[in-house]
Amino acid sequence: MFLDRFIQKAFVSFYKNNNKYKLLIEIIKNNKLIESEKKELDSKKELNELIRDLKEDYPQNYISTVLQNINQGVIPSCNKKSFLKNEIDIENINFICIKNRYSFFVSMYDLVKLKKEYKWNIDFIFPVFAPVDFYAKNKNNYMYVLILNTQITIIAYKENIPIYADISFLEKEEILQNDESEDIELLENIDLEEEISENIEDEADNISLEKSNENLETTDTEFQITKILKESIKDYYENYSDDFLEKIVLLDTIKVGETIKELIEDELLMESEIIQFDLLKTLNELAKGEINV
Amino acid sequence: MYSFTKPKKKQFFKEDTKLWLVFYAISVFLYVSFALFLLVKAYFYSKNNQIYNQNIITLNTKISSLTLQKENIKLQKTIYEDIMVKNSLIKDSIKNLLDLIPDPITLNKFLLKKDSLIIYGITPTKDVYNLLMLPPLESIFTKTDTTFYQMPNGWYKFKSINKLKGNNETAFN
Repeated sequence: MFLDRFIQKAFVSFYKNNNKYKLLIEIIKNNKLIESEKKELDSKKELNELIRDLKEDYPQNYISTVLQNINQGVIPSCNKKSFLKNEIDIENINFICIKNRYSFFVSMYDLVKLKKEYKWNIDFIFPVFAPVDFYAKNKNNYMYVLILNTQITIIAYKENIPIYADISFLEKEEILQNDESEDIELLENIDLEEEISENIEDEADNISLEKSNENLETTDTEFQITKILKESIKDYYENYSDDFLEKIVLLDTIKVGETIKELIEDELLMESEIIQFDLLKTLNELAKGEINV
Repeated sequence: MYSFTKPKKKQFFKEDTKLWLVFYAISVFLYVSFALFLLVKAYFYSKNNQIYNQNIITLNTKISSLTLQKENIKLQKTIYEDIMVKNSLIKDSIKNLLDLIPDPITLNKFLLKKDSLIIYGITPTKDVYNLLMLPPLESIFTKTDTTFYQMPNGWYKFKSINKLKGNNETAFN
């Protein structure tokens, strides 16, 4: 439409991550990105306020999010009989057919629940597999793994069709730290004279402790991912395909360590590649694709 | 494509912008309407002007025609008056002439012109004519020539040519 080139469109993508909301706002005019802003909001109230303001400022707004629940999957066909064959009750799901070759489905209950969760209307709700499928270039005997903070999404392709998909949650172990009361007691027992001399040492200790905690957490995540991948690949070979997977592509959103490549190579005897993946940007790209921008 | 939901139709403008646009639209509409009104008015003025100019030309032509008619009527009136005067003069002249004719003399005809009078008539004798008729004629006209023809019964036919020389006025005033 003629007016389109003069009107700014706001593409907003968000997803819930550890009770926080990650958000990307992109303002587009005449197919050109004129503003991009990433935010992390602590509460739904903040999100509601931000979206309300955005809707007021930009009448042409498109809000998109991704379904992160476990009740979703992939069927390598668009035929309803295929769902029945996989023991999926078609009345309780909502599915979309992609290129007339395969389908993504989601539990109707989860979809409605997500819609009702927010006061405002969400324009696009994508299955978590959608951004991966959109991004994936090589779709023959490749496994793509989308790594989020609390979950990983796995899709394995054969002859350009996703034949295997899985969602697993990562367990975050709490690292024990001294609580505040202990800190106060410690501070009371320390002489002021000693305080200054020991301060630097304490700081150094704290930093090294934090670092070691981070490393522990990272290594733990990598181990968990490798473990999940091992099980998935086992399941894949046993139930889905006899062909060997060529490569595992890790779409990383949390900056996992390079050690995961070594772990995969050692444990799974497979080549892998880590790609820094921007899920929010991809969601916006999907939204643009939906309205042909 | 990939989404389980379809977006609702989006408005193009904010509510404030819509309000402003409505005001702008009304203003533009009023401006355009007024401009159109002026254009139409100007068109009709122009058209009326043409009609009035045409009328002026027609009326001028009529005035010219009427002036001509007036002049003509004036001329006709002058001519009429002239004729009336002349007729009156002629009438008087004829009356005077007839008064001049003595009883014994009979007139056959006379030609009354502007500066001349030719009389044809019968007189018993030349003397009657010379005594009774000639003197008044000579008193009026500067030149009088009379020719007599004797008739078998002894009476005379005469032709009297009387002329006024250098005098345009009618002789029988």
